[in-house]
Amino acid sequence: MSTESVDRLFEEFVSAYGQGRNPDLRDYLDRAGSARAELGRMIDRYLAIAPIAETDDETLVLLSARIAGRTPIAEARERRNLTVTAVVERLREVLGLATSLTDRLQDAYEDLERDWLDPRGVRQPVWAALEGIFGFNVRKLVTGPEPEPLAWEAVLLRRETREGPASPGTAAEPRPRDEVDELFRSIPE
Amino acid sequence: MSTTGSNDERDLADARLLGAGDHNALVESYYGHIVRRCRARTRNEPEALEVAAEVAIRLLDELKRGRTYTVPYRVVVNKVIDWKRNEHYAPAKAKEVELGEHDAQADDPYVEFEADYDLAVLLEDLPPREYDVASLRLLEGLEPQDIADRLGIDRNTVDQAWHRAKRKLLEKLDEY
Repeated sequence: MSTESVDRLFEEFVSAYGQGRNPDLRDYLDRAGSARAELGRMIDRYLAIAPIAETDDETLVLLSARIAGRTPIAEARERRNLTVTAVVERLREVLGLATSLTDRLQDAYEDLERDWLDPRGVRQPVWAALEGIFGFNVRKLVTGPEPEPLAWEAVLLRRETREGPASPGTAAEPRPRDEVDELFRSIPE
Repeated sequence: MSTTGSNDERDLADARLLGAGDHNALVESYYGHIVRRCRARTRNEPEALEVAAEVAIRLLDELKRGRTYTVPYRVVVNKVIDWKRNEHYAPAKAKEVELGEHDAQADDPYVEFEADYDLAVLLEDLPPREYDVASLRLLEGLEPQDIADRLGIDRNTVDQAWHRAKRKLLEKLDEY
């Protein structure tokens, strides 16, 4: 990337930050490509002297989770003083699922909260419902720029369900996919 | 998110939280800044969060041990970010202020760094035109055309003044 382009990205960032638009630095660094380090240095020098911006909810949860050794979604739930049961019940209502699917929904939500699910396989209505419950963009917390595990590897992490573990020595009966699978374990696009 | 145009309000709010002993709220209010600066200079997101967590823990530890500061708290935060990042990438070279029990009679070790993080100090050496333009650009994020309108000068003059001011400021910051 040319110096001019790095300079343009820096100018864009300064405008957005100065106007309080909370620019996501990661986007700018990604756009800088091979000049990532150079742009990062320029922006860092600016941030060290610029007025300090307020902390948004997502960042607060992200760093608090890191410090507490929790996953971001678990941290978000703790900060809202919500139990898993309460979150699941609200999710069920918002997603319009039958009460008979509550246990399956709880398994899926707990997998998501523990970071056992590939977030790419979680459908938009779930993210929208979680945003309604927690009050901020939960998807942003769990879909960073790092490579993510393959969806079906993540799905296989849960070996036991509420119906109990598969009996040793017997082939587990394949369970038909239900609405919860469609919402939480879809094939990533 | 909002920026206030200067850090004066921020410093007052920080002083209130420090006075009230609300250390968690104080440090948490800097999480965005800490993460942003860590993202700027680390290679990836996990590293940025790792260093940011080290910064936050160090800040909380200092407060818990009763350390007090004679500089604005943001100076402390910025200095600890610099230290922790250096420590992360070059542990042998990193020279941090030792975190010991606070001695009320001892000098505040952060004082010598205060000017490094003060935009007003950095700007004050600029000629008047560059000072005006750089202040509006950096403090309020105004676009060059808006600055021209605000100051009643033409756009080309703004561009030239900003170009010169930016070069000088970045050079000056490189010295720190």
